[in-house]
Amino acid sequence: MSAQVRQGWRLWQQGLLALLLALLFPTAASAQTFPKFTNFVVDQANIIPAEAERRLDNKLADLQRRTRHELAIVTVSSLQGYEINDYANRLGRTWGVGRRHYDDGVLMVVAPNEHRVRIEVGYGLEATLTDPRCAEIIRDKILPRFKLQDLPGGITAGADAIIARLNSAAPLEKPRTS
Amino acid sequence: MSRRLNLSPALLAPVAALALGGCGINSIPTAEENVKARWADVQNEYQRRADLVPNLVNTVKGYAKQESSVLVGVTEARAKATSIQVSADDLKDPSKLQQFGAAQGQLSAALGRLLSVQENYPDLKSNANFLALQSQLEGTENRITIARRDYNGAVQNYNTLIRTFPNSIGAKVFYGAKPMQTFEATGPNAQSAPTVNF
Repeated sequence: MSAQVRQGWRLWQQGLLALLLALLFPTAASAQTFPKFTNFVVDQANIIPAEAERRLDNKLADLQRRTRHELAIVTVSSLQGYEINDYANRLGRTWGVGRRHYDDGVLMVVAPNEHRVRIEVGYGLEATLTDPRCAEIIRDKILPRFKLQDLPGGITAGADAIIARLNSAAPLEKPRTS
Repeated sequence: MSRRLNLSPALLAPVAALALGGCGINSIPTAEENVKARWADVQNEYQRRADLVPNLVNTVKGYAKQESSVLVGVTEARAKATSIQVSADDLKDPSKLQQFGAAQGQLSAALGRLLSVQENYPDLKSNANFLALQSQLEGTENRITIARRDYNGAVQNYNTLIRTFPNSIGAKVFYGAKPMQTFEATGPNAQSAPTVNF
């Protein structure tokens, strides 16, 4: 009898522990899973050869050193049912691409399985990388190569065009608040 | 005895500050201001979209004059949409937000019809000005979606705050705080821009 009571008590304790844990991590169950931000180039879909990836990463690191603007490139194996625009915005926020008060991050998302590509620009750089300019880069630099199955070539050409644009842009003057 | 009486007001002030702080004396206005700021973002993005419309209409007109009913429809929907503004004080009034949403939804639908016209006009489709406007429109639709999401998040945060203990005390006693309304888009957005595929 007393053993039964003790066992019941233990079950109750375990239940309480599980509840506490669930309360501690309320979003864990519902949140999207994003690739980890390990480098400027995160090739989750594994479509960029190692050598090209290293060169691209160096270029982006160099851009960040010179201009302080961050350009991150990610290839994802799945958009998990999200629209690429939505996915790119959420991922950019989760990673915190760009300096916080300048909001000067750029994120290129390539989803080879969904056949989608997106350039997401932080508010701070919208005057430099306008919507038409990004559309142009995708249309003229990226897609022609993608259509020839040259994904690494398209990504590199797109990155080069973005970098060229950021190089020629006037430096941002004052940090945005909030 | 008298000494203790002298001390107590001095002690009372920080204690009261702490106690009131726990009742949302600061956090409720902060959350409310955040909701208002996010709503301003939503309206700004819709305004940005409205600002694109005259240019877009003119460009399409140059190639597709015969689509006059579609063109007039967009211009009228724009006029209606820009005539409805929702001030920060109206955010607790669901009917105001619904009116705003309905008018913007009609503009979205009209813009969708306008963009679908391009299929019949190859010259329009490849016109640089049109392509630029189309990408701006698409970008603005994205920003609207994001601004709306951020606004709804701020509203949820505020509503949760004023309804949960202990802030609900401060919400009732000091502010008479009422829940704010979330804002959902009515109808599809004008994203009939061809999706970039490869």
